[in-house]
Amino acid sequence: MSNEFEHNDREWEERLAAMANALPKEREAGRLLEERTVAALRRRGLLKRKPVRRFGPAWLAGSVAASIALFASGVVVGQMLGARTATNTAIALSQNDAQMTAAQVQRAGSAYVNALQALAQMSDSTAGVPAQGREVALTALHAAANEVIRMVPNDPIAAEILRGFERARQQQALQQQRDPQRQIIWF
Amino acid sequence: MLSHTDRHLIDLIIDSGDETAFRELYRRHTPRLHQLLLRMLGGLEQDAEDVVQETWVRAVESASKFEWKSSFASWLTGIGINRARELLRKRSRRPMFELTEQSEPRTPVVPIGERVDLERALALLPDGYRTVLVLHDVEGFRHEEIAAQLGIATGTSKSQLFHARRYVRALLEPTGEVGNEQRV
Repeated sequence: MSNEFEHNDREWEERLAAMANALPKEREAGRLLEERTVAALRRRGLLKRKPVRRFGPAWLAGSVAASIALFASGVVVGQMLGARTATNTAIALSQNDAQMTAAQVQRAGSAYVNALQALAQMSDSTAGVPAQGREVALTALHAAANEVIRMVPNDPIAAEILRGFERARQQQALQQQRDPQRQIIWF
Repeated sequence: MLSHTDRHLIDLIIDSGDETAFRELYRRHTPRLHQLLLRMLGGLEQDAEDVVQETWVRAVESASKFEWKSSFASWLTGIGINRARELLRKRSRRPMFELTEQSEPRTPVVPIGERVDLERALALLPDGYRTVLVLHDVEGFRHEEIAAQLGIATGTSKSQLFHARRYVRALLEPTGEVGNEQRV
């Protein structure tokens, strides 16, 4: 019986020893305790504060000058980059605008021609429309030729169109002088 | 700094009060010291932190006298154990090592039938039992080392460990044979 108890005790002690040995051996104490301990040692003069580097006036002046130079060079580089970007953007925009305007002219021109075609078809069935349509079409053509000349002063086609208009105007004026009662109504 | 030996760091602290060296030494040894002291003091965190701080102050104060016959960790642990014992003495009117080899273990204060884990059982042990059991079974000290550290006879250390283990068993196995045996 006694042997059995001793055996049980030994077995249990081994189990306890294993359990105890398995317990964690370390535990973080936290930063506050470290600071508290360092402060206590400082108060006793056992630790010295980490030396804080003192800067002289010359060093400070040099630092300020270097900072200003760095800032100024940053500004210059920034402006250069900014200007280059702005120019590129403007060019891109104007190219983009020109393309858009040309496309708009093309669309308007197509609409103009389409309208004239429609007018021509109507002229077969409706009396009076061709004269009115003709005046409108010529007015638009005159204005368009003027704009092309403003855009490209030596454009031969536009110049020829305008000369044609001028000749027609002169002939009309001569005819009016011969027959003053006849008038053309523009709208 | 990480590759510096304890001795080099201690020299820096002694020679110039080098705070960086101290912090390195502190971070290297405090986690183990803190855990040991926390167990010795029955899991009271505030007491453990106070003792950790006192231990380091005492260690730095007397570092110049340390002769390096043992490791710095052992020396530091010794200081910590002594500081913890002082606190335990203050906390209790009863002398820490009142029990002799012939003493009978006291009855556990945990209600009979309640099951506790080992960490809590250690906290519930009487201070003297707990100190010996923690140093022997948890920290791996030999009885001769415990005796030298605590200033007691080796036989007392063995006896206290025996009683401490029974006490723990009574806490962990409240309905077991040990509990009955104690009451006989």
